[in-house]
Amino acid sequence: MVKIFHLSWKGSLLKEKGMKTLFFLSAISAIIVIFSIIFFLFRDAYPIFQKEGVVDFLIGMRWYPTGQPPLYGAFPLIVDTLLVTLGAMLIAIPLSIGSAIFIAELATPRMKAIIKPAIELLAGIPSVVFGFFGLIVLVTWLQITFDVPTGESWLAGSILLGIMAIPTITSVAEDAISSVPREYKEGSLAVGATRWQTISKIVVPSAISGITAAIILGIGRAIGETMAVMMVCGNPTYGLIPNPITNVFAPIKTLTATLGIEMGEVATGSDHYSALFGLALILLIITLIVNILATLILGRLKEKQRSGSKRLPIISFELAKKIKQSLYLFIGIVIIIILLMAVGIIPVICILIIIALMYYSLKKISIKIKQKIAFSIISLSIIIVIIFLGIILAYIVTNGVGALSWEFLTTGPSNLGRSGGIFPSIIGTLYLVAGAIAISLPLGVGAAIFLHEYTKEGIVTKIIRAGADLLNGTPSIVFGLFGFAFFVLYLKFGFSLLAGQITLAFMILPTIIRTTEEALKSVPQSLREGSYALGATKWQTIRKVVLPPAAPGILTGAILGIGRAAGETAPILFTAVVFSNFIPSSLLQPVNALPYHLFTLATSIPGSKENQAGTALVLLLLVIGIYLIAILLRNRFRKNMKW
Amino acid sequence: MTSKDKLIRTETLNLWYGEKQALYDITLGILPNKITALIGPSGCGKSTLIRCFNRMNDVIDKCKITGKIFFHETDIYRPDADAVEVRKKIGMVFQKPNPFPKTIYENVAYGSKVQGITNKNQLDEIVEKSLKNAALWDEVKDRLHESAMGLSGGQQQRLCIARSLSIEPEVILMDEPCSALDPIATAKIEDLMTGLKKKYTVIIVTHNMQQAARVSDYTAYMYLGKLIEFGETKQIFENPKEELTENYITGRFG
Amino acid sequence: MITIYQQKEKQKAGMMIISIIVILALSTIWFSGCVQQQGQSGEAIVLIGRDSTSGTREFFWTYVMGKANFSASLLEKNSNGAVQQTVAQTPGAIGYVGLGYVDSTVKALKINNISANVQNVLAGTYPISRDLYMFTKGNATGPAKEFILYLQSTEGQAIVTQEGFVPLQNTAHYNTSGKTLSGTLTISGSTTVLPIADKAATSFKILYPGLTITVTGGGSGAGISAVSQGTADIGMSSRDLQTSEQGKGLVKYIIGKDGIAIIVNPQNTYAEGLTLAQLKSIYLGDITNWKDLSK
Ligand SMILES: Nc1ncnc2c1ncn2[C@@H]1O[C@H](COP(=O)(O)OP(=O)(O)OP(=O)(O)O)[C@@H](O)[C@H]1O
Ligand SMILES: [Mg+2]
Repeated sequence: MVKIFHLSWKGSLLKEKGMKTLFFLSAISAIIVIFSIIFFLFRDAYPIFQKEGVVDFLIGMRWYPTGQPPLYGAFPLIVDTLLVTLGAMLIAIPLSIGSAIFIAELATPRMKAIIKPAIELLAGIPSVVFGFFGLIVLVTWLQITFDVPTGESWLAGSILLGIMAIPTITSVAEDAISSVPREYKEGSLAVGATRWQTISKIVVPSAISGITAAIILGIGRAIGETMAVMMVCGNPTYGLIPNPITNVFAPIKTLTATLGIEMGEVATGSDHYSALFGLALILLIITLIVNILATLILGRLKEKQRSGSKRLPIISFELAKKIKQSLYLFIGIVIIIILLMAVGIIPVICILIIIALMYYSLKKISIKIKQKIAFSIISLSIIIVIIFLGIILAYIVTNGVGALSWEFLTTGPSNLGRSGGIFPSIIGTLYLVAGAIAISLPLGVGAAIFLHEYTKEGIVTKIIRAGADLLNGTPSIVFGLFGFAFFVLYLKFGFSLLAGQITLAFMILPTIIRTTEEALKSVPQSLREGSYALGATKWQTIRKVVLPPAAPGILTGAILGIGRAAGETAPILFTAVVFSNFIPSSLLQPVNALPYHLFTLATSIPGSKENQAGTALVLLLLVIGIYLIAILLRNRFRKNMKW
Repeated sequence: MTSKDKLIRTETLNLWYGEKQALYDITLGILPNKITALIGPSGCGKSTLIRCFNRMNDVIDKCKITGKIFFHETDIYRPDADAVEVRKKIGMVFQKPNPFPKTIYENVAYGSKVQGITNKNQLDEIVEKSLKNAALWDEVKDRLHESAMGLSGGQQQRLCIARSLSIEPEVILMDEPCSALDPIATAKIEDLMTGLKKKYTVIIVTHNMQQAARVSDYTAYMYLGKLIEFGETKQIFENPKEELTENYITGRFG
Repeated sequence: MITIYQQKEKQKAGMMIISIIVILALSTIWFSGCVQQQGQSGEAIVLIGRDSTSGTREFFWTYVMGKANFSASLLEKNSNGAVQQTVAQTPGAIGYVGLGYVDSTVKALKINNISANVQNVLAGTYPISRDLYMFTKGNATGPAKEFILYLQSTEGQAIVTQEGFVPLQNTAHYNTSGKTLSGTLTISGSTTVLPIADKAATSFKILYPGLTITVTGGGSGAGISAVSQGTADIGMSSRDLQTSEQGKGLVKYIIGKDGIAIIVNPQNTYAEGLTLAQLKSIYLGDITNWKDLSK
C-alpha cells in the first residue's frame, strides 16, 4: 500500500516536472523565433553591410541593385515608407477616433450592436483584397479625377493603407473609450458639462493611453504592410522621394514593396540578395523603434494618470507650463516654415487666416452649437468609414458573384487562371492554415500556460512577453524572408507546404499566446485554490479545472489566428506558393493559395477580371466567415463569463 | 406647507429600466435650505429617485420616465428643457468618490471652465473658495497641481463636494456620500453638510440610520420603488405612521 | 425664475457653417491648384518597366539602353501581365512586354518602322528580341532531357508559337518510340517561360502517363537557384546566368525566342512607331512628354 502510494507519487512528480519543462520550452519558443529571425536577417544582410558600409547603405540616395555599378541606397525607400505611413495615419486617425467615439458614446445600443462587430469583421479583410480593389478601382479613379498621368502614387497607397487601418484602430480605441469608468462621465455631467464637453475633456483624455496604443498598432501595421502598397504605389525604379515632398501624386517605393517585388527573382547569395535582407533588417528595426516608443509613451501616460506622482517635480508647475507653451509656439513656427517652403506664401496666409477665424468663431460660439458641430463631424466620420468600406465590399461582391459557381469552387484553373476554377488554391489555403495552426496552437497555449500558471511576474516572463510583442510587431514580409532564408534554403525544404506552414505558424504565434493568456486570466483564482485544496497537483488542476472554462477563449484565439493565416500573402510568397494547378501530395511540395492566386491574377494575368473578382470574393467570404465565428464565440463566451 | 414653498416637487413619477419598473407614483416635495434624507432597503430605488432630480438617468439608455419633476415650478422633464442647465443648478456627489484623473486644481476648476470661465484669477478664486467650503483647503493648498488620485478616500470625497460647490448650485444631491469612508472622514462630511445647509438645499441617500437622524430635517422612507412615508425626521424616527417604516427603522429587516 | 430652456442660436450656427464651407472651398482650390501643376494627363509620359531582377528588364537595359541608367521615374512591375495591365489603364503610359502579351487592350509600336510580330522577329528585321532558356544541373538526363528535347522539337515549338513567342528554326519531330519514363519532374522559374512549360507539360504527360510533372513560377532567379540546389530538375529563365550564378555546373538550353513589344495605351494618338534612339531617350527620361516626340 505504502509502496504503491510512493510509486504513484513519484510518477506524478515526474509528470509535473515534465509538463513544466514542456511549457517552459514552448514559452521560450517565441524568443527563439525572434532571435532566429534577427540572426538570419543579419547573417544574410551582413555581406552587403560589409561591402557598402552600414551608413552608406542607410543614406545612399539610389536603389539600383542591377545597375553598373550597382547602387544600394536605402534612404529613399525608408523615406517613402515613412511618408506612406504618415499619409495613411492622417486619413485613418481622425476617422477612426471619430468612429470610435461615435460607437462608444453616441450610438444607440441597437446601432452599437450592429456597427461594433461589423467594424471588427472588417479588420479581417485580407490586404491582398484591398490591393486588388486599389489596383483596379482606386488607381484609375485617382488618375481620372485628378487628371494626373498615373494614379499609382503615394496618395493611392496612403488612402488604401488608411482604410485598411481604420477597423483595427477603431475597435481598439473604442474598447479604450468604452472602458472609461462611468463615474468619470457622471461626475462631469453633474457639474453641468455638456455631453461633448464630457467626451472631449474627460472621456477621451482618460482613454488616451488606449487610444495611443490603437494608433501605434495602426502605424505598425501600415509600416509593415506589403501587398496593398506593392500593388498601388507605382514603385519607381530607384526609389524616389516625392519632389516637392508634399507631392502626393508622386509614385513611391516602400521597403516592403521592394522586398515583395525583387525577392522572387533575385539570384540567391548575390549582393542584391544580401541587400534585400538589409532592407528587411531596416524594416524590422523601424517597427522595433515604433514598439519601443509605444511602450515608453504608454508607460508614461499610464503613470501620469494613475499615480499621484508623489515625486517632487523638478521644475515648478508654472515654469513647466511656460516651457510647454513656448514648445508649442516653436512647433507651430516650424510647421509654418515647412508649409511656406512647400506650398508658397499665399496658401499659408490663407491657412493662418482660416485658423484664426475658426479659433475666433469657435470661442464666440455657444457651447451647445459646438456640441452640435462636434457631433455632426463625428457622425460624418463614421459615415465616411462606412461608405469607404461599403464601396470596397460592394465592388467585390457585385463583380465576384458572377464568377461564383459550383464549378468555380471545385475545378482547377485553366488558361493561366483566366478560366476554370480555384479548387487547388482553396485546398492549398486549407493545408497551409491547418499546418500553421497545428504547429502554433500547442506552442502558443503551452507558452501562455507557462506564463500565467507556472511563473510569477518577473524577469523571465518580461523577457518572454517582450519576445512575443516583438514577434507580434514583426511585418509579415519579414517572416517571409526569414522563412525563405531558413526553411527554403538553409534547411533545404525548398518552396514547400511545410516551409509555408511553419512561417505562418510563427506569424500567428503571438496572437495565440495573447488570447490564451487572456482566457486563463478570466478563470477565477478561487477555482484553482479549490482544486489545490482537494489535493490536486498543478498539472491536474490546469487540465481539469483551468483549461475547460478557458477553452472557448483559446478557441477564439485559434480561430483569429486561422483567419489571419488564411488571408496573408507576404509570408508565403517566398516560402510556399506557386501559381499552378497543383495539389501537393507531400509536405515538401509547393502549393497554390487563395491570396496568392488573387495576387497573381490581379497583377500578372491580363484578361482574368472575372476570376479575379471571384477569387477575391471567395477569399473575403472565407476570412470574414472565420472572423465571424470567432466574434460570435467570443461574445457568447463573454456572456457566460459571469461566475 | 404649500407647493410654492417647495424647491423640488415630483408628481406621480414612474420610472422603468427597460421592462422593469423601478419607481411607482412618487409624489413628494423638498423644502429649500433643509437636508432631506432618503432611506430604505437596498434596491428600493433611492439612487434611481435622486438621479431623477438632476436628470442623471438620461445617461442610461433604456431608462424611461413618466410624471413630472418641478424645480422652482419649472418642469425639468419638459421636452425643451435642457438637462445641462438643470445640472448646473442641481449638483451631485456620488457614492464612490469619482475625481477625474487630473490635478486637484483642475478637478475643482473643471465645472467653471466648461461654462466658459477662462480668467485665471477668477478660477483661482473659485477653486480656493470651493475647497474652503468643502473643508479641504488646508489639507491640499500646497499640492493643488498634483493628481487628485493621490488623495485619501475621504479627501477625494470632499474634493468631489468642492467640485459640485464650485458652480454654485442651489441643490446638492448626495448618494451615500460616506459609505466608502471611515468614521472620522464621515464625521467631517456630516459637519460639512450641516454647514452647507445655510446656502444650499441638500438631498442625501443613506443606509446609516443614525446619520439620517443626526443630519437630516426631513426623511423619506422608500420600499420596493414606492414612497411609503415622508415627513420631519423626528416624527419618522420617533413616531412612524406606517408599519413598514417602523419595521425598517427598528431594524426588523433591511 | 431660472432659465433651463434652450435658446435658439441659429445665427451663430449659420456663421459656423459658412466658415466651414469657406474653408472647404479654399482647401479645394488649393488642392486643385496643386493638381494642376501635374500637367495634362495623357501627354506626360508614364514609364513602365519590369523590376530590376527581371530577365526582360536586363535584356532591355543591355540592348536598348546600352546599359545607361533608366529615368528615375520608371515605375516597376513584377510581371509582364502587370506592365500590360498598367499600360492598358493609364493613358500616357509606355511599357515593354513579351510579344505574347500584346492584345487589343494595348497598342504595340513599330520599332524602326518594323511591326512587332513573330514573322518579323523570325526574319530578323524586328530589332528587339532575346532567347529563352532552360537550365539543368549538369547535362540533362532522364525525364528532364526528354522534356527539353520535346520542347525543342516541332511539337514543342508549336506550343511556343501558340503562346506568342518565336520558335526555333529547322526543328525535327519528337520521337517517343521505345521510351518509357516514370517518377517526377519539377520545373520552376521565369514567369515569361511559364505558359510554355505549362502547356508542354500537359501534352508531355499524355506521352508518358507514368510521369508526374510540377511546373511552378517564381521568377528566373528563383528557378536558377532551385535547380542549382537540386530542388528543381529544370530551371526556366528569360535571361542568361549572372556572375554569381556561374560556376555551379548549370547547363543551358535555348528553347525559343521572345520578341519584346513596346506598348502604349490605345488612346495614345501621339505615336505609332519609334526609333530605337527615341525609345532610349524616352526611357532615359530625356523626352518626358508625348508632344515633344515630334520635335
Ligand atoms: N441601470 C439599470 N438598469 C436596470 N435596472 C436598474 C438600473 N439601475 C438600477 N436598477 C434597478 O432598479 C432598482 C432600484 O435601484 P437603485 O439603484 O435605485 O436602488 P437603491 O435604493 O439605490 O439601492 P442601494 O441602497 O443598494 O444603492 C433595483 O432593483 C435595481 O436593480
Ligand atoms: Mg444606491
